[in-house]
Parts: sequence; C-alpha cells; structure tokens
Amino acid sequence: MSTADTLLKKYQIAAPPENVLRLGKLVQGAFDTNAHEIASIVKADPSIAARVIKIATRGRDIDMDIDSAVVRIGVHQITLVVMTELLMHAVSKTFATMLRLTLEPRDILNPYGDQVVGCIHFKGKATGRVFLRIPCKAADWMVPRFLGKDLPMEPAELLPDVVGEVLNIVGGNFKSNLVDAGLTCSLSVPQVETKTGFATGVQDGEYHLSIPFAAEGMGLFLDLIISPIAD
Amino acid sequence: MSKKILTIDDSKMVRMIVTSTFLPYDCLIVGAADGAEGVEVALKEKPDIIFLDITMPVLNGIDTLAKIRATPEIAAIPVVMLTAESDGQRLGMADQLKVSGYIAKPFKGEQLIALTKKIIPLAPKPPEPKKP
Repeated sequence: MSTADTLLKKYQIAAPPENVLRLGKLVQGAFDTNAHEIASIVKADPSIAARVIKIATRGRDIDMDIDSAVVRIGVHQITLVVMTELLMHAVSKTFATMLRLTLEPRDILNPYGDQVVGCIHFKGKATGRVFLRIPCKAADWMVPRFLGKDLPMEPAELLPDVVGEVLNIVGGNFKSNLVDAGLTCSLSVPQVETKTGFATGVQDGEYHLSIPFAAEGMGLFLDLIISPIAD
Repeated sequence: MSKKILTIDDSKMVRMIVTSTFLPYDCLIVGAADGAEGVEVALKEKPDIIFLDITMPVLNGIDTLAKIRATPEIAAIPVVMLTAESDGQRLGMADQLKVSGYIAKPFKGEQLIALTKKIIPLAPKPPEPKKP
C-alpha cells in the first residue's frame, strides 16, 4: 500500500476517482502514449468514450469507433475530456452532499436570465479556470439547501457567497485530482459577480468545454478552460 | 462543561455551517477568516478543538497548523483539517504536523459531530432557563 493510500485509510477519506489514474497515464507519459493505449484508456469509461465520440463527430449522427475518434481529436483534447469528467464528478458530489441535490447533465440548455458567475483559477503544470454559472432565481432553493432554513438575510443576498463556496469546494477537489495525477498546481480564491451576459474570454490555443446541468428545473453551467499542457 | 470550538475558514458560509451543526450541543463557536487571525484567536480563546481550512488568504492552513504547533500555549490543541484539498501532498503535510483528523469537503454535519466526539466529549445543550 502506498503512503497516500495509507493516509487515505488513516483519515477515512474516499479514494480519488478512477479517472485520476487515467489522467495520470495520459500526462505522465508526457503524451508519448500511443493511440492504442489512449483508446484503451478512453474505452474504460463509457462517459469519456461518449464525449470523445461526440467531439470527434461534432455531434453529428455519424458512425465512428473509439480508435478513429482518438486519432481524430488527439491526446490533448482527450486529456481535457478526462479533466472535464473529474470536474463533473466534483460538482455532482458537492451538490449531492452539501445541497442534497442530484444534478442532471443535459446536452443543451439556454442560459436562464441574470446569473451569479463564479470563477476560480488554477496555475502550474495545469493552468486554466473553471466557471460556475447559477441563475439568480436559484437563490430561493439553493441557499436554504446549503445553509438551512434560518437565514440571517434574504437568500438572494447570500447566493454569491454560496456560489463562491460551492466553487471553492469543486475547485479544491479538482485541484487535488490534478495533483494526484501529477499535475501540480495552485488554486486561486474564487471571484463571484452577478451579470446578465457571459463571455468565457477563451484565448487562442486554449481548450474550452461547457457542461450544462439541470437542477430544480433550472439550468446551471460549468465551464472548463485550460491551456495546453506542456509535452 | 461547555466546549469551545474554533473554525478557521475564509468562507463565511462554512463558518455558518459549522456553527449551526453544533447548535444542539453545549458549545461556543468562535471563528476566524484567515490563518493569521486564527492563531490570534486561538491564543486568546484557547479552544478545545480547531477546524482548519487550507486554501485561505494571508496564511494558508498548512502554515497556520505549523504555527500552532510551534506556539507552546496552543501547540497541544487538537486540529481537524476541514478542506476541499485532500491530495496525497496535503495529507502528508497535515499528517506530519500531527492533525487529529481530516475531513474532505464536501462534508455533512454528521461527519463533524462524529469526529469531534472521538476527540473531545460533547454534551447536549442544557435547556434554556424558564423566564419568570
């Protein structure tokens, strides 16, 4: 048993998701991993496989096997897909534990009016940012679920702090996964603002994946933007 | 005898959750929003247990823990890490600094209570005296 495993057991902390191992295999081979090995990593997780096919076919109804999809989109994009799965796991776990809510991933959702937008940056061997977008109208159910019914002020006033803390937890989990996969990085303090529109500010060369979720009949968005990881 | 619990976390939300979690118990909750303030409050209040976040401004949780362990008046106070960062590196650092427990966020209030009870005795809050 490794030191990390011993400590996880000692402090009764759940082991990291299996996708941490997959991400580690992708990046620790300094992207020398061959297409066959990458395809086997992709095939091991149906959710990753589905997303890889969707990206490779650009969402069109075309028959494509995993091996062809891997060759078409390349290892960097696949690395982003695996990271996105880790992020989705972190956000689902956080909503389930802190808000007793099951998030339902959706293919497409329209933004829902004014929203609270939280952003957290990570910097190091992996560099990028994560956005969490929650409609302002979610305050009435989200804040009491997070803090209980006895609130010191109106839910709408507390929503930015709740979004900031949810993002802090999601970001911390995600950053721990990256570190365990060999991508040492540091995390910023979340920044939160209320706005009507949203622009990711994606720069040339950055990868961006947006993941819509539904909860309590409303759309929530998670965006991952990441710079290419050095080979 | 009432127990004193110090929660050091830059998130007001987490400090509120910790406070409401211990409401049914005979406890006094004190808070600090960063590590430097946390050490000051610990020296002043001498809490029975400390819950400590890692990612905080001014002084992060690991440096705060090192400072607590190096300050004789508060060195022996049990510290439980309450943080979203539970990678092998963080766990290793906290373990070397003799933490009494490690709770990974997201967390449930029951986890806080169960771990606290393993470290210090917790009694139910006594009933409020009746007003004449």
